[in-house]
Amino acid sequence: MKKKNDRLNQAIRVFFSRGIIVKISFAIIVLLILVAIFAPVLTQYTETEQHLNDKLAKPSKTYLLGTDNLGRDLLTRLLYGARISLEASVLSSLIAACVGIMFGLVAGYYSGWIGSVIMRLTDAQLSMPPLVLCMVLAALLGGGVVGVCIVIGITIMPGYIRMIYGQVLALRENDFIVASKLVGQSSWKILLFHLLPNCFPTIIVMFTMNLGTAIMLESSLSFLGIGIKAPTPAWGSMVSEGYNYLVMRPYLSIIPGLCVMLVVIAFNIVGDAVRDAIDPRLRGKL
Amino acid sequence: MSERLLEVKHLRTSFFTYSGEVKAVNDVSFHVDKGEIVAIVGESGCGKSVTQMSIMQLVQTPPGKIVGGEVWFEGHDLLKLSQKEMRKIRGSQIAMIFQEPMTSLNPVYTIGSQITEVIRTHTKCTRKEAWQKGVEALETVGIPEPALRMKNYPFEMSGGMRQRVLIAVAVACKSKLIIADEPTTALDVTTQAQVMELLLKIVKEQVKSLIIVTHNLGLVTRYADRIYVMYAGRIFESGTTKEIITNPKHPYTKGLLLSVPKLDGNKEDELIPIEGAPPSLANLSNHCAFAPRCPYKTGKCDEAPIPELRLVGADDHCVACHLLSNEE
Amino acid sequence: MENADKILIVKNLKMQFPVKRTGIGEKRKYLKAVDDFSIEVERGKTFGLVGESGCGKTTAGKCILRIFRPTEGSILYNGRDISTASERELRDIRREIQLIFQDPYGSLDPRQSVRSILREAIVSDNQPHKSAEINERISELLSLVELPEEMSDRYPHEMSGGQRQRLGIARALACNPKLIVCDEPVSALDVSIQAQIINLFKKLQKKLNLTYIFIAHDLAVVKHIADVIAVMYLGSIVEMMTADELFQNPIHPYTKALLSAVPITDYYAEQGRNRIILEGEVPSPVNMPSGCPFHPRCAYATERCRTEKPHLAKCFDGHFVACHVMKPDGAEK
Repeated sequence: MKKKNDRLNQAIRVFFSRGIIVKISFAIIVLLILVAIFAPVLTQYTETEQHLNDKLAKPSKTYLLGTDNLGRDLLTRLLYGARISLEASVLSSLIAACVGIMFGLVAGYYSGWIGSVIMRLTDAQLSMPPLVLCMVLAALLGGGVVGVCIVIGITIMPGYIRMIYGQVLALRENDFIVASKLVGQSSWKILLFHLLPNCFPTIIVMFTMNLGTAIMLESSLSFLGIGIKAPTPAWGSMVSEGYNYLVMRPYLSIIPGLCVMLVVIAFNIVGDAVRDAIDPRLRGKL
Repeated sequence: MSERLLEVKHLRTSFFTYSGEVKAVNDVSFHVDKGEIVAIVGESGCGKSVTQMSIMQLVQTPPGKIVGGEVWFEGHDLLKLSQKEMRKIRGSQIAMIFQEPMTSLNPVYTIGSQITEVIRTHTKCTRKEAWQKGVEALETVGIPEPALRMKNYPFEMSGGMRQRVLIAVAVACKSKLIIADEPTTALDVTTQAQVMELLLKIVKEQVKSLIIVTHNLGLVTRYADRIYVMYAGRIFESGTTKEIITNPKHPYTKGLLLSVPKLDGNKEDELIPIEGAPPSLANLSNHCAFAPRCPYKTGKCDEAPIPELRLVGADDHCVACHLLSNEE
Repeated sequence: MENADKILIVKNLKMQFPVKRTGIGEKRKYLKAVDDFSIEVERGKTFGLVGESGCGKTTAGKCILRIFRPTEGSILYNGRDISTASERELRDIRREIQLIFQDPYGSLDPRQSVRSILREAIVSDNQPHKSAEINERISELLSLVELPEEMSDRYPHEMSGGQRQRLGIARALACNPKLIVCDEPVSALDVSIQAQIINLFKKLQKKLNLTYIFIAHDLAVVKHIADVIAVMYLGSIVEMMTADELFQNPIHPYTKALLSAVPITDYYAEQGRNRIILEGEVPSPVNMPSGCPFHPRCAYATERCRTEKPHLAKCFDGHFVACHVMKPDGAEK
């Protein structure tokens, strides 16, 4: 519909008008995505290829960022690590969103004992430190990318449940919900077609911000050795592997660490800007 | 000849937005004499509230800006005063009462502390003296057990009571002019009557002037001495209440009076609405803003420039309409 | 009146809401929103319900719509008692009783276009519908409420207040209703638009033989659309009569005060009017006064008024009053 395109254009316009930092952050994320997709093309090495003669080599023409303690090219591992980070964060955020939104909708619409049970369980989960929770779940579920994603997904989930629950509680009282009931609309259709769409702005913002949180958690888990298992390159594990060589080859830990930091900040800034862009109050008309 | 208290001359206020310049107030002139009740009547979006905010220099800048005109009050042009000087005037010389009494009072402070704060801002007195003045003011506005009420919080009072508190503030500060912006719209009919009678009493007893901004034509028939009818940022008609209500000349005023349901009407009576809707203030044409909806429109109305207010009848009855003013 | 076809008969409706206890050991307090509410609505006519905020008129309307389940009393719709029916039992008549909301914006999903809002109303009767049929019906509804066809792709925030209200009416009509409860449908609209919508209501009533329960606080508006009017105060009906009688012969002191408080645009009439200004405020419905709910503010209150609540009693044909003191011709007993 023409009207929907207008709204999208308006949102994009507002998004990019927020200043240079937003533009830089957006560029970083685009770069991340491109790097993740084109990693094999950008480097001649594979991420697990070991050059044992060139262990801990300094940056040179052959190895642009040097090699690690097993002779693996740092740049290559960095690029493939981007892929892992992106995969892990998107997958875990999706898991968190889908399950969390579902619980939030049900808890908010059918208050009473179902709602209470869900919210109390959520509260219980939130009272545990996220990293500790992750560690317990990782121990139970084992490693592997999918396992890690499920673990992180479950850890991030309560944020969605709480948020959607609150939104639904407020939206539920609106006249248009009453109107739908009066024309005979069934409850699940009201949930799906009225309540859920009106939560979209919040969901989009939460999702964007959670991508940053997910990368943080994944890096932390990998750093501790319970996340993505070797030899798959993950920025977090690269930081921990480079720890022993911090004095002579500091960049082995610092560069992957910087990457994590930049990407997380970028996601947070973009998440903020997306929220501002989607806010209907900024839609031009006075 | 009554003393002139407030004179607004060619006031213009615009809001500069993404969609362009919104001319909320587009050359408005009116005056208020001492002891008078003047009504500014119009529907939502006609600019009547922005006019009052402009007088008080309370327009949000940006995006708003007072782009022209003069507001003469007691020998000063208010628009030329600094914010500091305006603060001396606001509350003490000119008091404002708004539509939503809940948001006009700070919910976390008691009524007493809010009244004494205003009194002490404008007059030199101790807290005890200010408290006493507050109690007296509450009594004047007919609030029972005023000393107890001073300790109440706004949420403990009803809408009508809160409006009375705001009137009490105006009384306590001995302001010369009260601007009431839709003071009774959020109130029940019987409470509305109470509040309006109170305002009337205060105005007559203490010789204050009152500007009442409203869309309720019945209200102005009962209480106002003179009426200004606003539409799309301009004044279309002005005159005494008697003239405007019994002898309306502008097609818009006529249309309004015909479309308002009457108490003595019944189901068979056909209400005659004004077709169409008010124009967007962002897209004003250079011709009469009412022309698209006017049942008496001629070709001239679509081409001629915006009509000026001209004298057409008894007691300063003025109309801005090509078909009625004495022009060629 | 007795033989006329009554689409709705409400008897002794009572609706109360529990209020949070302020201390342990205190008795549970209830907010009596509606008490002893009985009306009879004739098919094809408009029943007006007026009163100020807190009088219970909206709650009564919502009970009739079964948005609330009444505490006590019976609601006979076409002879069938729906006051205690479950949602499933109500399903077959749900669509016959519709609601027009006060706030035209809040009653429309901001994320749905006009077309989508109307489509939902049309297909929610759980019958199969062909796409062409739905589109035809949408066009029909838009023309009934005098909205141009081009509107169908607009969103609520792109429409004016009057247009939104027309859409709300179209949605209600999509269900082929027999009875429509109109909850202050014009109070949020501009004066010049109010007249348009009131005329539309009347036109639709004639065309589709609709019955309205018209809730409002604006007496003049109700006068122009209602056949019978009931005046409510603190949950009870204090007077019920035809619309003409309201103006010509009000009996209850509250009705008289209400009428006198409404300013009219008739200069000479206003000058000569006797203004009755009520003392005091409307008490909270949680702490209802004993006896007649109006007695604390009534100039004519007697000892009996303080102790005994008056019931609605007939004083003329079609004119009922709940008052111990007033005689039919308005003078005291």
